[in-house]
Amino acid sequence: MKHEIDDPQVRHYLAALKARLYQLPADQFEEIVFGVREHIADALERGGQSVDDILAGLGSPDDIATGLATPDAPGPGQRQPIPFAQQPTQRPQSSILWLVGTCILLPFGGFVVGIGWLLGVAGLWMGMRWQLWEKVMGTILIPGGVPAALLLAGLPVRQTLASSGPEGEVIISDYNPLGFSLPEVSFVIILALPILAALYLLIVGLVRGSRQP
Amino acid sequence: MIPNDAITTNLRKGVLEYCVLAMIGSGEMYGLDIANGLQQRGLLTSEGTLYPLLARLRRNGQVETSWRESSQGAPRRYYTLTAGGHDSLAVFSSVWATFSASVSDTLNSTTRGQQ
Repeated sequence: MKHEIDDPQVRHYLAALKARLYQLPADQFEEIVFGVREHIADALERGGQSVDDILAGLGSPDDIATGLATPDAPGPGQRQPIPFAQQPTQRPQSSILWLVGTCILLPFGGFVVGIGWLLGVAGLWMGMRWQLWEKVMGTILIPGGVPAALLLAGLPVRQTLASSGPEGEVIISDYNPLGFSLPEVSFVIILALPILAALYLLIVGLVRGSRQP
Repeated sequence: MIPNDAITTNLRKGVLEYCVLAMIGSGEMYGLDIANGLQQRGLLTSEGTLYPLLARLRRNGQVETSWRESSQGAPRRYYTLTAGGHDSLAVFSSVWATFSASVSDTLNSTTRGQQ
């Protein structure tokens, strides 16, 4: 649920806050920014306060970031962490299945009629465990995944052309559809890149997941 | 001489999260009302610091959130205490009663001794 606030001062404030909270896990980041944005929207809706007053009451983005310094240790009678439930911002990526599925589809989804990779990209961009730059990296480094890397390198993936010669014999030839072949080292790098990128996304997703609700 | 502000800030740090639990414990509330209530009582100087705290309390399973349509516009996120939150609040209330009584008693006896 977004509260759109069309005020340059508020936008600037929220941008500054996001910059201070950038190192937080994505879900935690979203939760705090959402709370502050909702606070501003509710205060404006209620009336009686200018944007200046509301922002002054909130304190500086640095003040809010300082509020994160409190220890996370459970107090007496507390339960184990529970999911970020009942919020419209909750998405299925909270599950390990979503995370693992995305990280498998990105490098290998291309083998599934080609659309598997697109599903992986959708999972990546809908996911909240990854920062923006990681999503961009995951998309750019893995365009098409391993199948595309194989195609690019032009080694194991070859298409067979069959045609009839003048004598009626069948001529079978392999060819690289791109018309060139990269050296072996480049091939290994190109092949490893999508796998390594997916592995990185999986690890950071799991680490952040263990710290999130 | 320690400035009054420094004493208040230090005391506030220790009790703020339980004050938040107490406010929510009296009935479900949304962020702005919790922030305003705490600020009016002098327990919160920067209202924005409430949101990292609420996020932590939710992660620790002491509060939970739900969405409800508001009469004035966009749906709001309401906070309620979980059973764990009620337990924490009860434990703190008990500790606080004893602790504050001890501090008051000590201060009073010291003051009497000085007179």
